[in-house]
Amino acid sequence: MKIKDYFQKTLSKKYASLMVLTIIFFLVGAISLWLSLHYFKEGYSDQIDLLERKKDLAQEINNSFNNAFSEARGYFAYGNVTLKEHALATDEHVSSLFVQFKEIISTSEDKRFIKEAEQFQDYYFGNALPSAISFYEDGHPEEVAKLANSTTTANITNFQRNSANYISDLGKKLEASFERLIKHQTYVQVGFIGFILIILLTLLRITRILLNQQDELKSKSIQNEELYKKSEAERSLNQDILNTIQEGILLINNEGVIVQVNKQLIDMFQWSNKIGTIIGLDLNNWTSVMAAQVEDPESFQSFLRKATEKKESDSIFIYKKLNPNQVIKVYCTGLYHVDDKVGTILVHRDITKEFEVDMMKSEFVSTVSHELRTPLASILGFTELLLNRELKPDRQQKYFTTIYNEAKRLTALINDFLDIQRMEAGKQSYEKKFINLKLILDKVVESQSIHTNEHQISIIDESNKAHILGDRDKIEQVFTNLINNSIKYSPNGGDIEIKLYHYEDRVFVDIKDQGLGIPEGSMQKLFSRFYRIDNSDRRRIGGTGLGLAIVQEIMKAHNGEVFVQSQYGSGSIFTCSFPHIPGQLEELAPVTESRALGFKVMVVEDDQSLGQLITEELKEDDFQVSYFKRGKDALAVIREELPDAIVLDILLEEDELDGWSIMEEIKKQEILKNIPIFISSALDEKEKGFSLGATDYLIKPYKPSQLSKAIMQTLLKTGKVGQVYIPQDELGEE
Amino acid sequence: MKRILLAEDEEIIRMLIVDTLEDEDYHVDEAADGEEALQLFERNEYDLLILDYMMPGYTGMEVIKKVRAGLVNSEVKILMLSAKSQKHEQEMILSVGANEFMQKPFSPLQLIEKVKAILDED
Repeated sequence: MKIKDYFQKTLSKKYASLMVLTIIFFLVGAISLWLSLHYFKEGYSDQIDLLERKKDLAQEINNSFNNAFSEARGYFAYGNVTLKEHALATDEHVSSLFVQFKEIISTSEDKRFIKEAEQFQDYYFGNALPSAISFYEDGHPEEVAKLANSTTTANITNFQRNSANYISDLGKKLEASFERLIKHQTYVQVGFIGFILIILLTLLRITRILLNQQDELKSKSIQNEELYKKSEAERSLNQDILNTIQEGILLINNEGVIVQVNKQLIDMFQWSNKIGTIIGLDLNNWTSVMAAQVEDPESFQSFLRKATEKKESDSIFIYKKLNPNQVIKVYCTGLYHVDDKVGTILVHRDITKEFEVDMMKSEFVSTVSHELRTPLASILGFTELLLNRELKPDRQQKYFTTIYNEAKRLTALINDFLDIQRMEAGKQSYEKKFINLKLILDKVVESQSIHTNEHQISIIDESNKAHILGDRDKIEQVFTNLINNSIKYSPNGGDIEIKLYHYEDRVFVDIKDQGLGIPEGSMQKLFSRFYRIDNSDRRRIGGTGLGLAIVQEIMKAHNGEVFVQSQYGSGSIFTCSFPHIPGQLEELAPVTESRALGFKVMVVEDDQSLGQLITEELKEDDFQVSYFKRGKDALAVIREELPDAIVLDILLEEDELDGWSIMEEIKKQEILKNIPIFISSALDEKEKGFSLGATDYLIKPYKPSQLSKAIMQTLLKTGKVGQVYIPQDELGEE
Repeated sequence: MKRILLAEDEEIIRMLIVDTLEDEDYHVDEAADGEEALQLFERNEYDLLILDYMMPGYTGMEVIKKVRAGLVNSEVKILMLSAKSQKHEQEMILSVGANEFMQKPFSPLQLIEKVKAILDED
């Protein structure tokens, strides 16, 4: 900005000074024009005045003579004495005019004129006129006429001619003078115009130079502006980067003054100041400001002091911040430019969550240790009594039962723990099949009812066949956990109502109890692992805090949801929802037997007798079967046959291809990869099988009918077998 | 017959201890938590309290403090059961006023020995 201003300023300065200069030139020119005009005028007017005066005087002299002539003639004609006196008085008047004229004599013509006039005066007034008068008064008018005719008239005429010449000369001179004056004036004016033109040209030239300069400056200033913009963009990018980082960052220089700070730190400490006002604060100022919000200000400040001292580098400190309660880890490290330390960076990271997880974990460990020790204590204790005491049979029975139950409790606990670990690590494999929720619920309720006499458990089925795609065991676990919770957390008994219903395209299961309910504050954390509501009324209720976490994980894996509504003190409703499988099952006309109506199944099995057995079984269910002993042969024709399902053995002894590589080969090909593959193997490698894309995995030995059923179920699921109905109970029991 | 008050929230452990001690001809009163234990303690005169460390309501530690600070029978012998295995935790339990400490899981036979030792000191 400064640079731009500066250039703009100097440019306008230049322009202003140029203007001043122009005005000065103009003024100088105008003044000198005026002066020269004045000077010329003065000179010429003097000259002209002189000439005019001469002319006037000469004229007057001439006129006076003429008057005298005519008066003298009048006197001679009429004898009027007044006229004679007038004519004689003219002599004196003419003399005074002569005196005046002599004062302004400047040329030889003037001298000659005055000389002639004086001679004429002498002649006329000194000689001719007195002689004539005396002739006239003496009564000799003829003498007068004689005198006049002889010389006087000629003299007079001569004088009159001469003076007229002189006067007309003067008139000519005057005219010439005027002409010269006008000529001079014109010269001066032309000169002035020339001067103005020169000034204008110079001005034009300079303006052009200035404009060029301005253009240059403008382009320069644009460049500068671009540079400025670029560096500003970079600066704000850096600040944005800093502000985007999740950690609070504080950069201080070696003197302990804040050089850089980001938004997160300001938010962390809830400073109302803007970033700009924090920058520049001194060590003592900012440490005390920060320490005011920290649980243990002394150690916090001493850490900051050490951290900012030159030698102490790369250290970590964990402090608790008050309002809101946060656990913050700060690490400090030196900032080096090449080899010189230029400052220290302090990075404040909010580790509240991690800290809470740690706390939860250690709480979990203590819970687990408590939960493990209690059954262990019973098992060990009762076993010791059994071993060391002579006990009556009924007491023995009681102890054995207790030991058995406690051992089961331990197992369940360990299983829960392993389950959640596996699920959270994503290593749990699910064998999803077509299952009926009602049948699962019946089974779970039956097994759970054994544990209680105080609860009435009922199932209301409002659904029209609640079929889902799921892992039977896992879904069983979901309902076992939920119903078990309902029983556990309604220690005073009550009804447990299970409702099954459809809503839109989902299947819902409500499990409603009349138990303790859930305090509002705990609703959100209810499904997090290790979380247990810590209330005196439920502390005696055993549990790992994993049951609901497991439920949630299983539900997630089934595209399902689980949520809870609860009135603290009067019970809870846990609701699970699953996607309903849009099979045509409901619309099917019941058929008592499974029929596959010509669907093609390819069987690859190296054991010929087993291969035949499978083939026959499948044929009985109306599948078209093509049997291959060698995988290679199967692969050779598979693209032509395009079977609807493939039954594949893994260990193919006489083959260079095993089942795995055949599977990989099939899954690689676009038109084949969707054909369901049923692995039939003695190897228990379900996980590998499913991960490679197997639809089902049957471990030998199995009943051949099982394979046929599995294939049909799958084709049902994919909507291929529209005409097949599998009786419900059969599906349920499998 | 010596009278013992047992406070333990786990029903099965309670059964184990009661069976074990009753076989040795002690009279054992049972309490499922600290509060119940304190009520019983006020009403009856006991020779020994066996307290679980972790109980809902008043914990074993709180029961010890209340008993020791109380007016009646505040010198009663106390045996604390706990899963705590760290030495400093056990020391803390003893420092609060327990006479003996026994770690869970425990051996019933050892429990008998400990109980006898505590009561025979008298």
